[in-house]
Amino acid sequence: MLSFALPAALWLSLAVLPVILFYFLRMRFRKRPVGSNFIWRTLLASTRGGNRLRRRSLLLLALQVGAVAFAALAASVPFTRILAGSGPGVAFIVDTSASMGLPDGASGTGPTRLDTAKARVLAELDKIPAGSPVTVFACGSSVTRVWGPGASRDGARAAVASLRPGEDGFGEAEAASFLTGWLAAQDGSWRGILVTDGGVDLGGRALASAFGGRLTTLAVGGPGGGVSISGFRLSPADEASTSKALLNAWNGGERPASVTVRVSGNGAILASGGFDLAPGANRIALALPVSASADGWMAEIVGGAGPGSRRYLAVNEPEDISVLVVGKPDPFITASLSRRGITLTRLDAFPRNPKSGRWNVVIADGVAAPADFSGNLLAFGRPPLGSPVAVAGTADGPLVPADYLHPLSRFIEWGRGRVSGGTVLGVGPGVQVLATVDGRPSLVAWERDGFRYAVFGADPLHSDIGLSESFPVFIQNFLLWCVPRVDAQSSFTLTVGETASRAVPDSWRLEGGGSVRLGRSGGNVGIEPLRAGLYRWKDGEREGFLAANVPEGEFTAQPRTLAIGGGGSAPGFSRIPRVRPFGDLALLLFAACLIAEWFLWRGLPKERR
Amino acid sequence: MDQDFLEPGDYELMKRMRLSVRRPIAGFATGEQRSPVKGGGIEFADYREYIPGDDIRQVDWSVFLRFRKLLVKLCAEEKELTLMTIIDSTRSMNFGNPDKLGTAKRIAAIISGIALENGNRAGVAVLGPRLREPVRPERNRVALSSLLRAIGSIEPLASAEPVACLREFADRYGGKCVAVLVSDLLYPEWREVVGALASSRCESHVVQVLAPEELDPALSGEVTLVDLEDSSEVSLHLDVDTSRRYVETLDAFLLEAERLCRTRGLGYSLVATGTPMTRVFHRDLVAGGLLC
Repeated sequence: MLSFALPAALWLSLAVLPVILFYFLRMRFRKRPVGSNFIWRTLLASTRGGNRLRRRSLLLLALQVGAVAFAALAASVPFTRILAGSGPGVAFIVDTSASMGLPDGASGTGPTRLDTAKARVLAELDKIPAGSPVTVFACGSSVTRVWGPGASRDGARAAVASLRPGEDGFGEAEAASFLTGWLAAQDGSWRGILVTDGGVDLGGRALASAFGGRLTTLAVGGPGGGVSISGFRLSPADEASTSKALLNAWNGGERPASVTVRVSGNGAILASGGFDLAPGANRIALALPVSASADGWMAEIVGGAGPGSRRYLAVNEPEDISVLVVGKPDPFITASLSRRGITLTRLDAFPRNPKSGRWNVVIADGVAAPADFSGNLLAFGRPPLGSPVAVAGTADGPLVPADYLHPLSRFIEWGRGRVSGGTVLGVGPGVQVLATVDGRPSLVAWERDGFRYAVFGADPLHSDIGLSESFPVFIQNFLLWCVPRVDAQSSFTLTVGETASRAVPDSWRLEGGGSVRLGRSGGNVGIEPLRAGLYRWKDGEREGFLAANVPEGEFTAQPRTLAIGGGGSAPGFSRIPRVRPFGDLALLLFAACLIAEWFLWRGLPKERR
Repeated sequence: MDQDFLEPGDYELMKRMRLSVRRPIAGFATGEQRSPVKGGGIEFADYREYIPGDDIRQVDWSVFLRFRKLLVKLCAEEKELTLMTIIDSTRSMNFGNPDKLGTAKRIAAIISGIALENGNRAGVAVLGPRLREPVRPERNRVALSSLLRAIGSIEPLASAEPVACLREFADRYGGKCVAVLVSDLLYPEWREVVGALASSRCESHVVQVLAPEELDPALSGEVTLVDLEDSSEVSLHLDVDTSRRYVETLDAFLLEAERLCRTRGLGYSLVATGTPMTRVFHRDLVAGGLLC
């Protein structure tokens, strides 16, 4: 039914009366004498009694009246309030994580959990009233809309049938964020039906919140009989034994299962052994004839199927963190950096080309970094030139923490630290204040172009800061903040669907095709494997492996209970009022009337019309 | 004065122009009008071969000496003719700037003057409820003054029966004169008018007079057109397209009028009011075959 936000504006439509009056008055007053109407009457007779010419005149009047009426209609802001007879839309969120590919049932064979989920979705589709829009989302570590919104049930069925299990986990936070944005762009109300085996990392709360509580869960999967391995690692040889491959094995069945596990390194089979796995979790160890060296390793269940039957491990030579210290020798800084895994370089002044040394971190003590410097920088005393931080005065007093949640504040307690002869800093936007002296910033940090910067207004040598037990921890925090896990041997053993940041130089290249998504930011690169497997990387003369595994939690075959309730039935349907504005349409018609009248008034030749 | 509708140049036209007559003139008195009848005149017209019985004085001896052929020199016989100018004075003629009736009166006066200047008789008739003759055909040049006075006094009439008037004219002057009808022909019975004039057996000529406003009406928008003749109204939305269609309809009407006149043996000329009279007489009426 048509309603109006400003019904008083409809009085404007009375303006059609003077338009009509003026039209006929003008016709009456504009009498033009002619010698004879003989030719005019002949003309009218040739145009079917002049009907066409008269119709054109009346059409002009109708257009004028229409323009006035539509203008009044537009001014009254019309809209319709209709009850959606088809009920709310239904969004199916189907879990397509790796666990949905497990066999569903104690036998360990037969249909997978995803097959069961598809059958449940198809059954629910039949219950939804015809005409109700339906959307199907496939959710793993990311969300893919595979159908809709649309009312076609055949399309939805085909989309559901095309679903395949992935190799990643269910990223509920990402799914909830995506669905919140999607729901905001939809008309009407939507209900969600989550079909999962319970492998939702946040327990379904975020998804329920995205749907405003209108989320129903359909749990699938019973105690499974599948066997999978996880936790693949190597133990080095010692005096008592050789190197071993260690694994966790899961037997989801109710009876013991016998499996053969095989371990290969760089493509060559190195060890194989049979194991009887009790129901539930098992630990297995396989002796290796070679030492656990840097290589690309794979453990697999012989004859196993699915991503849970293989695990990958990348072992690479650890790489030192390269640190450049610029400025006067400071024993506290030197002591904090004197450990394995750190290569220290000392210079009195900034090199002309700071990138020449491929330093992961630069520490400037009393020396201002040049304005064109880009890299991870920890500066004591003097902020870098061209930065959003400037010296704003002297500081003398205890250092008071201001931000406990920042990575640089981890395990830091400046309680006994006192700044003497230091500086306080003036900060611009985007700079976080980590500690203050007399309420003014003295330790600040910020990020720019992917690089991380920190400025400390204290001189470690001439204050209590260097003596504080937190100082070496602060230095380590800064190194970890800037250079994530580059020193670990297995730092390139990653999980499918999860992005890991690693400090690698620009020359680092991965041979993975489209199976790994890379995104560089500053000195680090974000690595998100899309499929499980072993991949090779190169960095100049150096080579290594990158391993990507299916998330381990995906293979505990027992379905989990979600934090939110699972009804297992189709949601109720109610008639939802929907508002549809017509103001723009009225304005469009108003403009169309004016344009048509203008063309008609111009009397374009027939050929052009 | 009643001759005020004439301009000085009009009198020059009377003296310089001559009527062009295609048919033998039925008059008895010898006049100054060049007649298609070849015979006793003095103006050379043509040659033909000598046949026994011809007047030997008409043989061109110089041609005989050169070509050894007896050729008789024919001369147009000059006879007196009666010119009757019929003026349409219906109300539709009182339209235009200058108005059509004024132009018609000037044309009638000049043509009559030409006839009188050439020693012919000239008279004027007016189409009204009945045929009215303010001046009977006179011959001498002295009659020009009374003729002009009579033409000048013609006023538009409220009603007219042009077909009946022309039938009356045919009864009165059938085959005895040269008739010139000056009219706009803008009435439904124009075909009957042309037919009645053709049936008079006079050598006839139609001078159709239209105003520029009728030839190309500069009208637009919503208008009600009021007929001066019968006060009938036509309401129209006039735009470029309608105006173009009007011109096409008018052109078709004029073409049909000329074609009908030619078919019935009548001369035809179209004159727009406001056109200089020298151009009307030297171009339009000469082209139409009325003057030479």
